[in-house]
Amino acid sequence: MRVFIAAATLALASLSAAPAHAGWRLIDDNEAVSVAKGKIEVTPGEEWNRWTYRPVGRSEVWTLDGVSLNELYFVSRLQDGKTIFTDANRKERPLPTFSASMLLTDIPDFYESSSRLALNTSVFEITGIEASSLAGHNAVRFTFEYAVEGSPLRRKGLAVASIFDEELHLISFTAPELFYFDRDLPKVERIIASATLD
Amino acid sequence: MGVKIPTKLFRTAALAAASAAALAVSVPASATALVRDGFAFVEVADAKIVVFRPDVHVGSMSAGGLDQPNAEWTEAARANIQAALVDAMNQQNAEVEFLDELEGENAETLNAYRALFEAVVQSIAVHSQSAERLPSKGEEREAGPGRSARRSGVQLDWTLGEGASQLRDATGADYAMMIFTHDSYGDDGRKAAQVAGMLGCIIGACVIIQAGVHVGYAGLVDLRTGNIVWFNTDPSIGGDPRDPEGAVERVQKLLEDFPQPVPATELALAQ
Repeated sequence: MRVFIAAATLALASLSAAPAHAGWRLIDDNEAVSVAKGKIEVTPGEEWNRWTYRPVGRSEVWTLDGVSLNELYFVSRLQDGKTIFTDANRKERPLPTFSASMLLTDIPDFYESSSRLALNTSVFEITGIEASSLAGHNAVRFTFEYAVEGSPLRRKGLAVASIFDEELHLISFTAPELFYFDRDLPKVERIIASATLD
Repeated sequence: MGVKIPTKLFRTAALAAASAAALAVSVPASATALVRDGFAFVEVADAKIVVFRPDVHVGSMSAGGLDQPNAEWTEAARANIQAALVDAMNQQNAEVEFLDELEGENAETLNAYRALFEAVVQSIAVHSQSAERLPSKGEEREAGPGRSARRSGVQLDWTLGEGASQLRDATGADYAMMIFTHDSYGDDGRKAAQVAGMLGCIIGACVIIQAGVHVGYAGLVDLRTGNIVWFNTDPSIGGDPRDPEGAVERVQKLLEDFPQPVPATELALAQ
């Protein structure tokens, strides 16, 4: 028997490609851990669960209560020509690819178009963009709101992205606007602030 | 700047064709209700439970997996499930009030919490199965002879957040019973594909196509805290809610193991 639920997050949208044996592992809360097989280390500060499946080569998904309630997504060392999410429906809705010539200011649009296609939603809006830093590098930080067809639940997100060595590094967080986003945002902010190069 | 969500909410299926909108995970053949740690029957003695209109969706599924909502089926199923729910809840030893909708701002609040409830119970359903268990939700077990420290089981510690107390203010109830069901019946094309898939098994080219999708979740929410204190789902859920008898079967499945409130008089005697 199988249960079917609407995919409202990027991890869920990539699940069709996930192997059956993928599972969840507990992350030590107070030790710095390398994420997404990349160059960045973060300190969780809370007991997050890490998905053993990686949506794209150097990526990682963490959650506290389930990805439809709080999803922390790490992408590290994304190279020219690669998609930021699983290109699960590339025949009908191919995802855009990262270009090494992109500027930080291009990343919010790149993230938005990738999300719209991956989630098959027309309800997605960038609500703020500002300069920031990630692991000591210049970064762009942006916030967004979205919903998916089939669910009236409003969702919010935050992402911080940096480009160095011609590779994209990104941390994004999505959660329902009601209760979960505000409750978990401080935990996510601490993780982003803890990011260092390993 | 806020996202404008279409007022007409098109609920396509939980199994959406658009691939990206679909998630399928295996669940055990049987499931048992989960009860929040520390939730005791004594807490619900003399409690008032508000039962909101069940969130019911029925549609048909094409051969390609596209789910088309069916308004007529949905309306019939909602009425049947609601009638069965009224009968079932009236047999509970608690004060029960049935409310279809709330008025004004409270109506928006209820809709928002219905949507969050759907996301929360789907998370519980997915992550209470062994292959998808979240270790942080397990109970800690100390290391023993030949066994390292580990987490096992699932603790029901999901919540809608303390803001759900707005529903307590609006209804005067201590608990809310909320139900979500989604059924999608295979259309002729899907049934043909299913038959073709089964025939293929004979020659070793087997494609298993399910006739449709049937899910149902029931949860009891503590309106003081927003915590889900009881949850039930049954992966082998039966009953066609489009007819009254099927709806009764469905509701009986969903309310199996519902915690029985203890009357205050019995409590006093026990103490």
